[in-house]
Amino acid sequence: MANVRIQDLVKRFDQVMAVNHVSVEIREGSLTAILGPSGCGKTTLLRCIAGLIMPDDGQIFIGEKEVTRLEPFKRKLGMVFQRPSMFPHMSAYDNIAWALRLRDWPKKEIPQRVAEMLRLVHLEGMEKRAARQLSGGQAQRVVIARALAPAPDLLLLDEPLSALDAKLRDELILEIAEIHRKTGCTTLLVTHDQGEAFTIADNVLLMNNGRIEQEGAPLDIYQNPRTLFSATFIGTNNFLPGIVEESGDEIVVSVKELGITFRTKTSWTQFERGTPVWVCVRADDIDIIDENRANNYRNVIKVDVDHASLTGGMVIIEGKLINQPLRIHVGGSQRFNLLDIAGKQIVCGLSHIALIPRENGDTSAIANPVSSLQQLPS
Amino acid sequence: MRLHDGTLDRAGAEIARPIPLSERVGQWRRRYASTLLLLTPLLAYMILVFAVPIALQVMFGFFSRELYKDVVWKVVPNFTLENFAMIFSPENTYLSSLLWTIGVALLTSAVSITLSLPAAYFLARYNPRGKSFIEVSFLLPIFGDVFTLFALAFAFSSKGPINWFLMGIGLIQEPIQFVGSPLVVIIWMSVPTLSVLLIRSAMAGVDVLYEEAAQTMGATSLQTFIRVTIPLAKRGIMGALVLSVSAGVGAFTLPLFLAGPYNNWLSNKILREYTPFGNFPMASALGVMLTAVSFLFLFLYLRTQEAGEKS
Repeated sequence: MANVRIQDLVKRFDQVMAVNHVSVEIREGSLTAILGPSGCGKTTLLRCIAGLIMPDDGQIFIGEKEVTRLEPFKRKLGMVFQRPSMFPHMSAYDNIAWALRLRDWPKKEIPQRVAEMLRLVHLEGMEKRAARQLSGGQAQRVVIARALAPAPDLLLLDEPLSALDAKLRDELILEIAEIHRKTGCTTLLVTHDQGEAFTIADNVLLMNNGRIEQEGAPLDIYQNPRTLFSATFIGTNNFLPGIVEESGDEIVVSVKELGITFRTKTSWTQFERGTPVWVCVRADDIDIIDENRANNYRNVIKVDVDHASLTGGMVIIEGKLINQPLRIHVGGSQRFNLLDIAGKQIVCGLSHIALIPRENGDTSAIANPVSSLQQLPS
Repeated sequence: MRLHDGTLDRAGAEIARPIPLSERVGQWRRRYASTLLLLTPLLAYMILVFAVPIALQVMFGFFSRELYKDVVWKVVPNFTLENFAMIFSPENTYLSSLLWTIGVALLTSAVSITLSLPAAYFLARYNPRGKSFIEVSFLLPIFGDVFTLFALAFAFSSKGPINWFLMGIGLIQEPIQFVGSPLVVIIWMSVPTLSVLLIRSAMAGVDVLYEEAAQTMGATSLQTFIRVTIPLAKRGIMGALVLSVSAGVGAFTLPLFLAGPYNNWLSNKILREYTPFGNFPMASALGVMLTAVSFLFLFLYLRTQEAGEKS
């Protein structure tokens, strides 16, 4: 086990900055997710840590040791790739045993250790199976066992589940969390799936364009996006352009176009008076309330509903706040009362809002206030 | 389900009834007639220039000969196993010749394949300048046969560059007589040629993913190459080996030119059975043996390829 420290790392591919001056520290024993859209440099960053590609500049430390220019086999780590990489010419047993032999595991203890690892990934009795006799999920479990068997300093998971089908993915992600809990091995998970990252990671690095956009606990990133990208990439958001009117314990922001003010006490940072900001309201932070309960909320708005559609566990309401399109997600049993509210006006309390710095004069998000993960390339 | 006569059996299921032969022939003819028509010219050609002569050769192998008017040997068409008995008789050198031919083919193929592996890997994984030129130059020894042979004969001659170099660095005092000895044939047959390209294709088909995985597991480049790349390219490597052996068994020009006409290669002995000995049945019998060995290796080659396809 070890922590990982990355200082000012740079990797260029031709003219593209795949990793653009990234500095980050990954805590020992943590499960950190590197989250971002495809092409954001997350896999490149991971491959630099693994030593499969050499960075152009910067330094990487695993524990106290600098490994920037070290060949991959000299770094004590385990890696799981996106495509199943179980060696097809070896049995499950041999796959794991070879990993142990390569790391000079005591010969006598190898059979016992292999059995232990197979138990960890729930593949008891599958020792003799070859890759073609295992399902995709099972083969990927063998690879996880193989990576963890020699007790590496660091476990790197490069989109380990994206080649599997959805149901298996949900199952295996929880298993990875459980394995992490049992082994305590520092783990880095690269993924483009926010659900995956938020489900199991205790720390999330959100990447975009080769940079780390935001770092923090999943809840923190979800509630307090610090950039427009963070807010749009995760969840569904409504954006309203405002100006900070009052700063201090409570921040007051006015949206002139709508003649509405918003208040918050939970902003992640102080904004100077007069700073242009985006008021960012998550679709699932909007509660539909009775007018007489309005004083429970710091911010209350009235929305004219255009239509509501049931998607199963959730109702998606599309409406207008004055002339501004707005999207609301409602879950729970309340959702069944909402199917015939099209054309009506509803009162909404905002349980949480976030403020994001805005370029002065930038109202581009107004044209497309609602963004969801589906609209972004994944 | 309706039966052929349009009736149903009691359970309403179809009963398998033999289709009359005339009907089957008719079906077969309708299905394959046009294909057969297209194939006819090629088939006729192949039968005439390939199958018939081969059949005659095999037949000759079981005939004997007699002296005609004390001048020429004539083939006598009476069935005998004498020729094959002579091949396996310890008094004659045929068997040792056959073993020598196969042995040299195996040895030189093994050496050439071993030498091919790193070059093939390099060509499979990297893209050097003039890659196609490098690849073509591996084929030159095969297609530029006669030209390269004379270049080689010169290079290995007593006053040629190789002896000059070896004497220059003081390794030998007197020039080595390469030409005329089997050594130079063995050296030349060990040169990697087509096998490099065959193995390169096989290695290009090995997913880099497995090599990367091995390296992150702690394998050095050499360990990765031996434990991952070679086993995964095994089919192509075995194919190249078997092809090389079956080609080596039939080596003819090379021993004739470089080791002289009285060498130990079976192909050259066959020639001597024709002329000067005039023993056509014996030449045919030896030819059958040699072809059978080549055929065996080619058969093995196809087996390795098919076995791979199934898995």
